[in-house]
Amino acid sequence: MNPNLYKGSMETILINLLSKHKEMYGYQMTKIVKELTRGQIEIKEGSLYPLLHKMEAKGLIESITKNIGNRDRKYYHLSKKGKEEKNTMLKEMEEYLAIMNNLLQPKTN
Amino acid sequence: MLNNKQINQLFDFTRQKRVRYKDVQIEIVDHLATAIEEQLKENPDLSFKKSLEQVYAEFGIFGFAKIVQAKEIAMQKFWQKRIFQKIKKHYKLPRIIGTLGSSLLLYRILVHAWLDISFVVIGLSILSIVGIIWVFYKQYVMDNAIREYLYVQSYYGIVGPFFLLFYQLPTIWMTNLEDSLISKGIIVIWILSGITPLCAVLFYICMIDIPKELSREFHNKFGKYLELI
Repeated sequence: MNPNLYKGSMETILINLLSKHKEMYGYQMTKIVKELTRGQIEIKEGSLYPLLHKMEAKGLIESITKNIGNRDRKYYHLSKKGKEEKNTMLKEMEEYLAIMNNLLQPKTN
Repeated sequence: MLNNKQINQLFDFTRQKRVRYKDVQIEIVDHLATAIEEQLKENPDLSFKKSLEQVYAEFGIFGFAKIVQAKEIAMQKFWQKRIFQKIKKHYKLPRIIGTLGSSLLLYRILVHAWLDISFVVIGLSILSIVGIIWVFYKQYVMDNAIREYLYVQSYYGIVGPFFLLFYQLPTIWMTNLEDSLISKGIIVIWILSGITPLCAVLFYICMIDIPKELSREFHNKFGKYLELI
């Protein structure tokens, strides 16, 4: 799928994903998105981490580092602000999809 | 799971690819390691080196550069937000009593000319210079091991320009002091009465308050890595 079609939606996608999991790490997010979309959407590492850092700076997500044996792993979870923003972002996405649907498949009277 | 030698090789790899911050390396190394482990599980005949090449290729033509740049920007915003949140606290109850009280006291002192305006302006300049020297000093005496952490580096990178900004304001006034005194008089006094306590608050936050928290947070987050050195 053309990445330009979903580039602007990545933040909403990640917020929604994190809302369904207690915490997630970067690689896990790329894997789950790929599985859920059957490979249609692949979040590239070069895009994922800058976006996660941006969202963390905005206060939408928080991170915690845990040791997993031979290395540390950074887990992300939704912050209080992120949980509050989530519903607004999902609503905006639904409205956008409805508008696009009307635009591309206008109902004829 | 990859062994410790391979994990160390990944840290060396990220350093070779110009990720100089240890805290940024940690996240990238975990991603590389997890991706390599998955690859090796599916294809046990693949070598570690070849797997790393394939996983690194997934980061695109810019490699880790975009990640490092994004993290630097994110950390700048993080510290800016923290500084502004702390300043806001000084303009809410109960601290606003002290902050506004100082402004009003300074206003009275200046309006009755018990203290010349130029002393306040020079005082702000000196405070700014002290702040700039402090930033350079902190970075000069900083342990090399700590210097490698973006968490710390980004703070001093933000704070330096703050002090520089406040150094410029008094300097501008000093060069136009005669005109401003004659034509703007009371406005200058109001402005100085407002910004001088703000400067004092800012210097306290940047030089004492946050550095104390930074030291504690840094050792909580990364202390174990320093113990390994």
